[in-house]
Amino acid sequence: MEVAEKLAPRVVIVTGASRGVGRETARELAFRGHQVVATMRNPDRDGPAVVQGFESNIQIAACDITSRDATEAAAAFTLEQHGRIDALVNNAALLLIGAIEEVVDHEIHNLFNTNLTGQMRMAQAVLPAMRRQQGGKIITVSSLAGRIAGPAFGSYCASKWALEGLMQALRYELAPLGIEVSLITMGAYRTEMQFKSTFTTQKLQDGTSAYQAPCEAFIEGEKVRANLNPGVRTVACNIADAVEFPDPLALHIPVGFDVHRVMPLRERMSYDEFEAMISGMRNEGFPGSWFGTIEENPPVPAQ
Amino acid sequence: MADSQVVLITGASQGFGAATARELAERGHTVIATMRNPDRDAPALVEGYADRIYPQRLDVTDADTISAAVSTALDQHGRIDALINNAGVSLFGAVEEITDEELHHILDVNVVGVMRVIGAVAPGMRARCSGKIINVSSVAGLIGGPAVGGYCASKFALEAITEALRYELQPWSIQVVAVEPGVVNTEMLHGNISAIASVREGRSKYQGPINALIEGLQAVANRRQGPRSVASQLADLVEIAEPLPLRVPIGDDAIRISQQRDLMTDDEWEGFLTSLRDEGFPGSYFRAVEEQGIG
Repeated sequence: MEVAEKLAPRVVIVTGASRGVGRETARELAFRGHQVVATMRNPDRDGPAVVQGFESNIQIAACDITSRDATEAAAAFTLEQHGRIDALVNNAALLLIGAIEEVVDHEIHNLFNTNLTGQMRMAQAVLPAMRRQQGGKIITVSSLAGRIAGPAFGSYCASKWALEGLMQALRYELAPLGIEVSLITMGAYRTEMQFKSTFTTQKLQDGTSAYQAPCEAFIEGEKVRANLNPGVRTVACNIADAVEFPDPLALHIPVGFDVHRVMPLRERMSYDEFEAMISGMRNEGFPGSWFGTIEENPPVPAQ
Repeated sequence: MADSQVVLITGASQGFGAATARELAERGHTVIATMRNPDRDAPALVEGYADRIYPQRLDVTDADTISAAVSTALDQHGRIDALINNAGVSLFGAVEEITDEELHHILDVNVVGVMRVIGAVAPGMRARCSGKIINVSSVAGLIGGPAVGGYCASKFALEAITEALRYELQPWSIQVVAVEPGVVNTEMLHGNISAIASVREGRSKYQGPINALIEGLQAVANRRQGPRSVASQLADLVEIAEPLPLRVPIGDDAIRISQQRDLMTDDEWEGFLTSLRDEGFPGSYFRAVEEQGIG
């Protein structure tokens, strides 16, 4: 509250606000006195729980970021309601678990259509207003998976790496306009995402994957690991801080103790050293569950 | 989901301590919130959380109050799962002019005070072979700079103690971690700024630059976030059931500074720090030296 008293309220669009980081961020921003347009695909089902208690600070807008009409409508709605857009929190994202060998075209297209193109569409939708204002912030929720890669979720890593590239370029393009671009590198937190069974390839769902055992061990391990970690309040607080900061934002905002641990290692090790370290891990979850399962059940040559 | 934990936190009357106590209570944990003057400060702290926040009088410079608070906590709750050593004081002043008493006082609170509380809490943690000790250090525990040498000395010492304790308590599975917040908008940088006598009395040979630094830091703090994120991250550290790292920088400035410092040689770092002229630490100091001269 102490911050909200000092800062002028900001107008912020948060995508993917139905649950997880999006919902928590929308509510944290509202708590701090800002005006939030929380977007989601299914407002009738998910909206009330997001707004509850913050009726005068959160408005819900239906928006599927795979549709250009929808992203533009969300930006237009925000301008109509508040006259400006100070920040966009690009949060909506999908997960996809499954070995790269078995990912089919439409699965990776869907993933990229949300995680990359969707984020770009939403950024493009708010930019005319931010240009007019000569200021604004585009804060994109990425992940450690945007900085390192590993087995079982390669296509998700690919989507987040692509997002990194896109946003890094956008940062240079928008700097002269006074519009800031920043990426949240999120580490291990407990979110609903780890518990949704739909985020897997068809092959895995059918139980016919050649990587069935290590992928299932990965999924189970990540669930165990999620339960060892706190919910996403800190992520929401860090995003709200980034919305509020008057000082220039860093390109990457690392959130999570594991990010602080892994990134310095990655930056200081040769790739060979890093790969040997990752391959040698036998922890629960990423990446140990995968390697441990492979070790116990070595693949048999296909007939 | 983390089970409900019993957490003892020092310096809970205001700033990080108060915010963290309330955040932990909000998450369903039991908090023994210690402070020097509960009669004055506890009512505001416990409001809305009377069933989860238990205020206790504790002055980290007074061993009797520590043993009394810890034994009361153990009587009431049976254990202390996590200890957050948050109580601390700051000190502005040039190293040349710090008196023995001034240095002893800050070390007595920020270093020996932490050791005293650990001395009282660690036996119970060893008996149960579990526990967490979270020491609230500062960016000033990672880098030194002008006008805050006494404070840096205390926080560097706290970093050393944290590191040593990690090895010593590891056999009992007790985790020890230091957190390093950057500039956060708390009471520490407002109201009664803690400065050495020569600065308070306006007779320091470094008066201009030190005043400029204090004002610069206050201006930066005013524009920055309150303690909510620090509190949330401290609560995370209580809840995380995975092995914790030695250090956790908190805030964009702390993360940037620790990363840059790690990647630079001493010479590069000194060149970088000395070149800063922006408002805050240490730019305000160097700019004042450049513009006003010194001595």
